[in-house]
Amino acid sequence: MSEAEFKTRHPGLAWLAKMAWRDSRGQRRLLALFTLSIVFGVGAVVAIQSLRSNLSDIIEVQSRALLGADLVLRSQQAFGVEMDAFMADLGGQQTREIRLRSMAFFPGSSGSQFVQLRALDGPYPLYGEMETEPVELGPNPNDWQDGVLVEENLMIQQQLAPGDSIRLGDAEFRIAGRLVRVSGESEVSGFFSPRIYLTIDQLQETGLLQEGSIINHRAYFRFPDGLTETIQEKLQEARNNLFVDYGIRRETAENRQERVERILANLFDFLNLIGFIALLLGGIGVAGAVHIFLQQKVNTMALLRCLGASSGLAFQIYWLQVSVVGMLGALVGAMLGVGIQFLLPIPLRAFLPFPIEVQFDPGAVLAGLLFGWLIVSLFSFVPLLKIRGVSPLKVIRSSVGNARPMRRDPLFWALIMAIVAAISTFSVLQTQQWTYGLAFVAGLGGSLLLLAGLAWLLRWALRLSARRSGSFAWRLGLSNLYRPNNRTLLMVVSIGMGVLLIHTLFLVRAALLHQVEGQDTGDAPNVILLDVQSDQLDDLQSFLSDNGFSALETLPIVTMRVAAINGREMRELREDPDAGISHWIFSWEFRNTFRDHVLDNATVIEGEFVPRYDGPEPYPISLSENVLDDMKVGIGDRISWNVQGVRIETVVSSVRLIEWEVGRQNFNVVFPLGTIEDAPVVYAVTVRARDRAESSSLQASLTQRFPNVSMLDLTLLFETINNILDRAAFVIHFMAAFTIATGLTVLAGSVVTSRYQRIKESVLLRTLGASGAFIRKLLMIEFLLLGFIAAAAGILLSIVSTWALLWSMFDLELVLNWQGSLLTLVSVVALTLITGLLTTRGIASQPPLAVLRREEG
Amino acid sequence: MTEQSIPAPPILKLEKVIKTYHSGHQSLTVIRDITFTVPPGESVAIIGPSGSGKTTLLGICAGLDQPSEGAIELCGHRLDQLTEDQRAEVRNRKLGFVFQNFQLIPTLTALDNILIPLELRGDRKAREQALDWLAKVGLADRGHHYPVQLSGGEQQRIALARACVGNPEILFADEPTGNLDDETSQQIEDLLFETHARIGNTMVLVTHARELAQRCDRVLRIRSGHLEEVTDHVRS
Repeated sequence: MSEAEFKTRHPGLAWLAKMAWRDSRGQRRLLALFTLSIVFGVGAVVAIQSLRSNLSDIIEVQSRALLGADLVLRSQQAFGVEMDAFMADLGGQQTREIRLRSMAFFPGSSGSQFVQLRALDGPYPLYGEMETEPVELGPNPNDWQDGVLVEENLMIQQQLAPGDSIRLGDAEFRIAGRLVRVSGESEVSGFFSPRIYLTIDQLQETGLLQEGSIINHRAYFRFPDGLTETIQEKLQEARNNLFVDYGIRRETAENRQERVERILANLFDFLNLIGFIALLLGGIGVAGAVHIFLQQKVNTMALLRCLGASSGLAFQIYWLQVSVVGMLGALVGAMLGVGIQFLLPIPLRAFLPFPIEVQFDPGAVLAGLLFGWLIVSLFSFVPLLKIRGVSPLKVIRSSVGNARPMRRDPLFWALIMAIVAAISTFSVLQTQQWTYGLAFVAGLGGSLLLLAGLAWLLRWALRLSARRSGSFAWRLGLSNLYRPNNRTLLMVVSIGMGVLLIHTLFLVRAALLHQVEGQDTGDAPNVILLDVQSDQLDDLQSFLSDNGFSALETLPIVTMRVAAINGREMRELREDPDAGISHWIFSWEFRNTFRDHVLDNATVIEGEFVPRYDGPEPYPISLSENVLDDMKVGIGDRISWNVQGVRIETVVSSVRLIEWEVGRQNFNVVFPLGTIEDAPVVYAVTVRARDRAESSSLQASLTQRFPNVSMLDLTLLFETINNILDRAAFVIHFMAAFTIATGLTVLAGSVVTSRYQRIKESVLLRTLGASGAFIRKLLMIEFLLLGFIAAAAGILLSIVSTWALLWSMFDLELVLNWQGSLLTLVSVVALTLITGLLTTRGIASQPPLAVLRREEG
Repeated sequence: MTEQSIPAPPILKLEKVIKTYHSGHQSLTVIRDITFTVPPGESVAIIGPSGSGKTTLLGICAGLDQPSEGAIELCGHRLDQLTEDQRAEVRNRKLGFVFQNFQLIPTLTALDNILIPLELRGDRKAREQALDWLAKVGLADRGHHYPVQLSGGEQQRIALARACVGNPEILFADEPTGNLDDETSQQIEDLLFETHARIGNTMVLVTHARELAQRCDRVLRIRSGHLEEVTDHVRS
């Protein structure tokens, strides 16, 4: 044979495919089971990608409906003559809206509710729809037959029907119909205070438009040709003068679209990364399964080599098998993903500002499919590489090892680098930032290592304790975790990763709720009465004491805006790009107070707090530390305020560090006594209700007696936050469950591959006299321990990760909830046990003789 | 050991072959300075006690393993100078193998197992030849059976058909009757030698069985890594 002959021979692709097909006989189900490991990961990625693509398309089409207009101008004070002239000059179709929060009283049921009133002078939205029931009511207040629209949830909650009455302030109205949905607004926007739509004239009748109330004025614009250059120029011109003077904020449809896209991108990046973890763990699971599969194939490989197959050919036969099965797994995953894509919007619906019409997105499915397949292929390559080292000598001498160890194979390291590169690329593409993407990969790698380390330690500790005092069954069950080809660590890491995600979320949520709920103890106030006018204060206090309540804190509030900082007018600062003052300062209506002491939840960290000041301006004021940077001021700097047309000069004399807590009133700016008492003042009064019944009774009587006073019940607030977190958590739980499902499929695959080995052991034990019940007990102990190690490792690591997260992002303390952790532990152990027992069904009842004969054969 | 003087060039030639295994700091020499040749058409038996190096020697002769030192020439190729894939090519074109434990691929039918060497060559008439050999070993009606459905003797017949289907110049057999009962062993022995006679190729077999060895033209004994000719051998 010549050298040329050595190079030309190849049996061809058809033979390769035929051989791969023939060789997989009898093990196709097993191979299919291996690929289940990636089904959930691919499913998660496809679902998220598809939904994301669907939402992008919807946002693109509905960009104007997201805002309901081409342009919105907002102010916390009435627009005024100059602004009216400016807006008239802009032209187009315009609708004005006044928004405020208030109490609503329902005479029919004697119930009351904190609501947000939205008073219109024309149709709204100008783009998109207002869905009402009856439908003919629509977006135009003229069609509401002098009635008001009440949000559907509130109607259900208060058992209201169209035609019922509702009292707002001093006026009573008929409910014309239900508000089902407004374009551009999510269900969550009505969670804290349900929306009630009425006309501006109706709002005037209520008498709720009072000095000091937080009132938001809006003007919506729809232009025939959209935001033309002329309009944009006018807006740009007004930005640094008129808008500064009147504290105007503007938002265009484009701005809103960008904002919604940004928020959704963040949400989907996060969900995608969770799905990606499931895919990654599935990839590792497949690699482990392929490794075991190939171990069973070593003899065939050696024989093929012996009969003349080249190392490349043997590699190709098995690569083809794994690739095809991997593609099938990815296909099943993609189909699952398409299915989930239709389910996922259900929990997300409350957070999305538009209805979702989910459509099949071939691009996203194909991308998820190919990426899933790539991951499987890359991970499978690791065990496949070993094929090249299988010696033909193994045919006659089974003890012959591989030609060279993997760690000395440069291709192995090249492959590891390719895997890391693929993961990093995906991560960076998701997060759109190098640093975040790589940090995710590093964090994920660290978490996997930590989980594996923890699991190893737990397993070691259990083994040690069993050696000393464990029963025979206990020791045998535990030793099963160490059986040859065990994938204990992989299973533990997969399941543990899911537990880590879910339990971290659970603990973060517990800490956030504790922050709110924790205030509701002892004598701390849990009800806040807002918008109490000066002339109502005495009456209100008598009313409270008559009803068995006492005002815990009475806080005067004076609204004002910043007019100048250190002598530079806000207009001038707006034009100066180097001024560095945050945007919100220019339009913010500050709600400041005056008092002669620092509250117990604040500390003076710089300067001197002045309790009383009887001198001339500038008045010494105390600022909260969190506004210093936004205003670019410090001790000694001067701030001029516009108090409803009157200018007041102040100087920063102290800085306070405030421990912001829900339910505790505190203020960014505190004036000393003797300074602004004569300005228009409203009061906030805090009281404590013993329970919900007491606060409800207070609410009902208060609304009738003081219709303009709003009551914020913190217990209700807590319930609302809980409700929102519940919905948000569901989405994340849903995705994290995929990693647990992946872990369980890895477990199922592992049990199936070791099934024959288990049967042999069981037969041996039964031959020696063990009962079927004893064998079942062994299996149960094994899966109990596996589930326990996985859950415990996940929970322990989640405590550390939650602590780090709370400390770095929320500045909150970790709150352990042992009941919840125990429930997680028990659930995971139960799931593992059920999966394990289902896949080992029949092992304990195999007839020993049949197995022994099979062994002989 | 003395080399026989034959007119044709040897089909297998080993020269000063040594095989040493290393394990940590220890080394074990299994084959010690072996030199011998096998002329074409000859049947040679290698006998020896367990652990004497028989299988190692067979593996080296067949190009399944490389010697630590020395040269091997098989069918005109210096095996010690070829890559593993090139040796695989030589095995496919020139060699046939019969193993003690049959080594059939369990997921392939009997016919498919026989087909493998020809398919690896890309032979277009593979199926006809395989069917022919299936008939020659007396299993024409068992072609679609899987190994697990065949008896040990039947499996070894299929293995023999697979070894011969490519008309190998040399057939290596490693304890071909080692896993069979006496009656089946006898049948396989007969079949093996009938085939050898029919094809006229060379046969090198490793065996414990004295009766089997005695049917060969020549018997070599390996002991502690050294090879010696059994001079009192009388072919039965």
